[in-house]
Amino acid sequence: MISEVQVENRISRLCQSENKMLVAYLMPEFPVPNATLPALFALEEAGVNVIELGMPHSDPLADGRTIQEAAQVAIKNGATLKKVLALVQEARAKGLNAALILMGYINPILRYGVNAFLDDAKSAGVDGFIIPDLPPEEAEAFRSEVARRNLSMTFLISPVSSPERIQTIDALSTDFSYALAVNATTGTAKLSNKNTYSELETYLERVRANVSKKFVVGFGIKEREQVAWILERADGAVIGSAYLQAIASAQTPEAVAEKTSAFWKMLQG
Amino acid sequence: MTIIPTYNAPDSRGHFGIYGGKYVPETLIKNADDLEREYKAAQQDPQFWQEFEDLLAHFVGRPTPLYFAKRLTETLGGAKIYLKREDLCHTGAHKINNAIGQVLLAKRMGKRRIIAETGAGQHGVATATVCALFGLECVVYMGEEDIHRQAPNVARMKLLGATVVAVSSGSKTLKDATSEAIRDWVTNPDDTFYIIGSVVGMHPYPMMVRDFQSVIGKETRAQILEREDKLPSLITACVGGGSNAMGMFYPFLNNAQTVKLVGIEAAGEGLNGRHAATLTKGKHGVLHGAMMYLLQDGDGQIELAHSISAGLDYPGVGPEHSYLKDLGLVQYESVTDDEAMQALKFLARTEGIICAIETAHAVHYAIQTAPKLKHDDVLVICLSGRGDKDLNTIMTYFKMT
Repeated sequence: MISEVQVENRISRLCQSENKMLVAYLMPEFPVPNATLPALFALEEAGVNVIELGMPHSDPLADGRTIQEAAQVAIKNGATLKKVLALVQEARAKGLNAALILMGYINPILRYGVNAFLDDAKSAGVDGFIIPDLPPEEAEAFRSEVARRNLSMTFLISPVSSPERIQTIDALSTDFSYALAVNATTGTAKLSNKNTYSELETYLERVRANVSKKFVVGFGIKEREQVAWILERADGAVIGSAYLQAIASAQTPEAVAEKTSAFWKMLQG
Repeated sequence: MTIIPTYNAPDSRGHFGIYGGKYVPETLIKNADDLEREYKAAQQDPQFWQEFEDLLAHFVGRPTPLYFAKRLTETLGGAKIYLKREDLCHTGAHKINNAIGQVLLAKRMGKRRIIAETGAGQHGVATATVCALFGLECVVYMGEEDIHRQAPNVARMKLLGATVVAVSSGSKTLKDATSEAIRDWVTNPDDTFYIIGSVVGMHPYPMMVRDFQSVIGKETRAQILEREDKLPSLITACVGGGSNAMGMFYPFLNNAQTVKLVGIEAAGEGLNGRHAATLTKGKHGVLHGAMMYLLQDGDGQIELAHSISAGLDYPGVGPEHSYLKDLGLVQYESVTDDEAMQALKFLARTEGIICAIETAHAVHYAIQTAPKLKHDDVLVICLSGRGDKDLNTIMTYFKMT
C-alpha cells in the first residue's frame, strides 16, 4: 500500500530544523494491552518530538533488566512485529505527527522478511530504525533497502568508538547518530558524580568533533537536570528505562497516559 | 578428474557462507576487533603456541588416549570402535583446551578480569581453573535451572575462587547465561575478557574456539593412522553449541569424501515435543552475535530448547556447523533424552566408562550405527566429557538410590 501523498520523512525534516530532539523510548502494549496509542498521544502532547517504539525481543542483548522485563510483558500482551506496525498505522490514522522510529533486534525482522517489513513499516507511517545488533559491519544490505524507501537509519556510537569509527557511523546514519552515554546496557548506567560528567563531556566533545550530522544521547538518563545538561551538548536526549519504570505500575491505558504526561512534565520542569 | 576445493572458512569478515559475522552492539565492536587483531598476532607467534602446547601436555594431560573399545566393538558386532578420551582431560572434558587458549590471549592483552557463561558447568569449571592458574578474577554466569542440575560443578567453581552469578531471566539456562555474560562485557569492555565456551558468538570466537579445540581432531588423526594405518570411516560427536564436534571434525573436513562426519543433536523428548535439535528443526536467525540455525517462533522470538543434558540445552548452534550442514560436509542427526540415558548406562557397563549425558547422545548413534558397518570399518566417538557431574540427573532418571 502506498499512501497518496508522499510524506517527507519526519526525521529528516526535524533534523533540518533548529529544534532539539526530545526522544522517548516506548515499549508497545506495556504494561497493559491497549496502552500504546494513549501513550503515543500523551508523549506527543507532552512535547516529545521523536518516539522510539520498541520491537520486543525475547533476547535483547543491549538492554538492562527494565527493558528486558518490559519486552517480556509486551510479547505476552501480543506485541508481535505485525501488531506493532498495525499500532503505528492506527496512530497515524488518528493524527499522530511525531517522528516514529522502530527500535529492536534484527532477528524478528529477518523472520518477517526484510523487504516485506520495510514496505509495511513505510506504509504504516514509520520514519526510521535503530537496530542495536546490526552494526555497520552487517548492515549494508539492510541500510540500502532503508535508503531506497526514503526511510532513516540510525547507528550507535559508544564511548569506546574511535574518532574514525565515529566518522564512519555518522556517514552511514541517514539523519542522526545515537551516542550511548556510557558503556552499559539500557537503564543500568549511573550518571551521577562529577567524574562521570567530566568524562561524558570529553566524550561528547569528541563525538561533536567527528560528526557532520546531528546526534542524540541516551542510556542512563533519568532526571530533568541530566536532560538539560545533555541538550546543551547534543542535539537530543533519549529517555527509555526511566520512562518505562514511571508507567510500569499503571493498571489501565488511561493510567498509562496520565503517568506519561506527569513523567514528561517533570522531566522538562 | 574433479578438483575438490580445500575447505577454507570463515572469510575475512568472519562469515561462514551466510552464517557467523558480528551482530553485536556497537560497544562490543571494538572488543571483537581488538580480539581478532590479537588472535591474528598470536597465530604468528611460535611462543604463544609453545606455551599453549606446554600447558596442554603438562596441565591438561594431552594427548588424550584414543582407546580401542574392545568389548563395545565385540558386543555390537560391526565396526571397530575407538573412543577419543576427552573425558580424561584435567577438569573432565574438552572445554579446558579452549579455556587455556583464550586465557593465554587474555594474558597477552593484559586483561585482569575474566567472564564466562556455562551450561553444564564444564566450561565454567575450565574457566575457573585457568583463572586460578593465572591469578585472574573470574565471574561465571550460569542459569538457575542449570545450577540445580549441575550442583557439583557449581561447588568446584566456587572452590576454585570464581564468583558464580545465577541467571534468572528467560529459560534460566545456557542461552540466558550467555546473554548475561555479553551484557557484562558491554558494561565492562576495557578490563574484561570474555572466554566463550563454544563455537558460538561473534567473530572471531567461532573460528578461534574451533582452532583451539582442533587439537582433538589432529591427535585423533595421528593416533588412528598409527593404530590402523587408515582414516576412520565414521566419526561422531555431540553438538550443542558444537565445540567438541568442531574440534574433532575440522582436521577431517578435507577428507569428508571418505570420512563420514556425523554431529548429534539433542532431540529431548522427541522432535515433535521439547527438544534442542537446532540444525534439524531450526531456521536461520541471529543470536548472541552471529547468524546460525536457530529455534524460533514465527515472530522471530527465540524458543526454549530442552535437553536432559544442560550442555546441549541451547536454541542456537555454531555458525560453522550451520554452514557445514548446508554444504553437506557433515551430517546431523538427533537423539532423544531416553536414548542417550540408555546409551550412557550401556557404555558404563560395557567399557567401565561413565560419560557425560551430552556425550551419551553420540554414543547412542554409534551403538545404532556400528552393527551396520563392516568389521574393517573404524568408527570414532568423541568422548567429550565424563559423567560425574551428571550423577544427580542419572540417579533420578534411573530411580536409583
